[in-house]
Amino acid sequence: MTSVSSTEFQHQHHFKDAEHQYASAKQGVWLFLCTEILMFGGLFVGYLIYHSLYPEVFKNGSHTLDWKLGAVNTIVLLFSSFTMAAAISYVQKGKKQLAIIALAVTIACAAIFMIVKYFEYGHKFAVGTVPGKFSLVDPKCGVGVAREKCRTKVDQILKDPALQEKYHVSAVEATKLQAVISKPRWEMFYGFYFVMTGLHGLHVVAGAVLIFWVLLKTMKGTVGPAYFTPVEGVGLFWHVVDLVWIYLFPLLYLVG
Amino acid sequence: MEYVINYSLYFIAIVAVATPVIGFGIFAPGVATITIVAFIVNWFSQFFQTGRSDQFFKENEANPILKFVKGDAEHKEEHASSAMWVEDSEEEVHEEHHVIPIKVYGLVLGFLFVMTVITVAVAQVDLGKLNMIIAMAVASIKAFFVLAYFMHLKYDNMLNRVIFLSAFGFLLLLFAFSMGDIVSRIAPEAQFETQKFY
Repeated sequence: MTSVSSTEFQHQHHFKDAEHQYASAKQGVWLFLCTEILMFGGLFVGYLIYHSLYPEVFKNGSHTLDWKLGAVNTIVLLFSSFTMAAAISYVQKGKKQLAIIALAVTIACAAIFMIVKYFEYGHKFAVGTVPGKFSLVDPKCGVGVAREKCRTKVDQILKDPALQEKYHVSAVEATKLQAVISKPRWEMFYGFYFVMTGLHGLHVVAGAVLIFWVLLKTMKGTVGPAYFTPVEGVGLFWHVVDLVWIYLFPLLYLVG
Repeated sequence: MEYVINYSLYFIAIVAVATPVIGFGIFAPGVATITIVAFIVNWFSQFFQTGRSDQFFKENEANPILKFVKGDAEHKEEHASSAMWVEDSEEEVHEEHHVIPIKVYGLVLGFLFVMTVITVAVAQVDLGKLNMIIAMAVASIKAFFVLAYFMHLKYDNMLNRVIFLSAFGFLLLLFAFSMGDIVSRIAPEAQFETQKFY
């Protein structure tokens, strides 16, 4: 086990000491996380407003999401948050091997999360529960205000048993989809769903890349008990990703 | 609600006018007067006995009221970077960073799992509007534990806490004003059934 002794780490000249540099860097990370919260917050406020305006649309839409997959993803992300926190703790204590394992597990959790998301998205693309004009059989049909007269992909699938078989639409799901398209402007829920989970998914990928960068640093031994600012910063980012999902999961999957 | 929205511009205008008037008209002259008077008092005080307050504090060290006012020296924040700027802290302090034991993380994780199960279980029962409130409350409890333990905010300095929580404050502002606008202006004219709040 290699550990960097406190005399080895040379702080930048414009800081008073290593402690000063650490505190400043962390403060910057917190400020960045503020902007993250505000970015997702705008979407959350939009969601709540449209939810109050179109309660039926959001209720029907959330019923088509599989809460079991959402719950699995919640558990995976919570666990990855735990391993990330543990990794920081191990780096601080100088336990290099354990830190590497914890970081690798965190990346694996991110991968599992994205694989589950891939299957969820794939099914939605196939069935046609997607935002805006893409939910129509002919996307050009809905130009202007003519959308109400256009045929949707969901409607096409519901009237054709062969297509239902092809896209694995069960009888239970078919009734749920029928309820969804029975209300006007139903595609709005999927607009929110894809933008919110998409942006979150982007953050998961970015977080996984950053954790990999930290993992390399840990392997090289450039971070250790004396200097662990990158690990701490990436960890904070990863926890915010988890934080956003904690709110996203009940909002999208559970309460319609 | 409507009145608050309609007259909010007037409120803002009043505050915008009142702030410089009060600031430059009342506070600034007051501060200037106090500064000049204090300078004169201080200058003359050099000819008299100094250090009286120190003597007083030393004599009344055991006084509980004085202790409360001055703050207990033993219970001041003494963890990493507790000073707002490091220049403010004492010279060459090598503070140990607070390392939370893995066991605590494990307990928090278990608690978060339990909370997830509760969220899912409650959502299976239709409680109407309560569903949303319970789900958000449980999510907030989970968020609190993630922030406090995983993100070390419990042991972080006050500035970082204020920075992060200010984001939620501004979010609340955004939500309150947008929602106020929606329920007072958009919802009553909507083509579909919405609940009137006023």
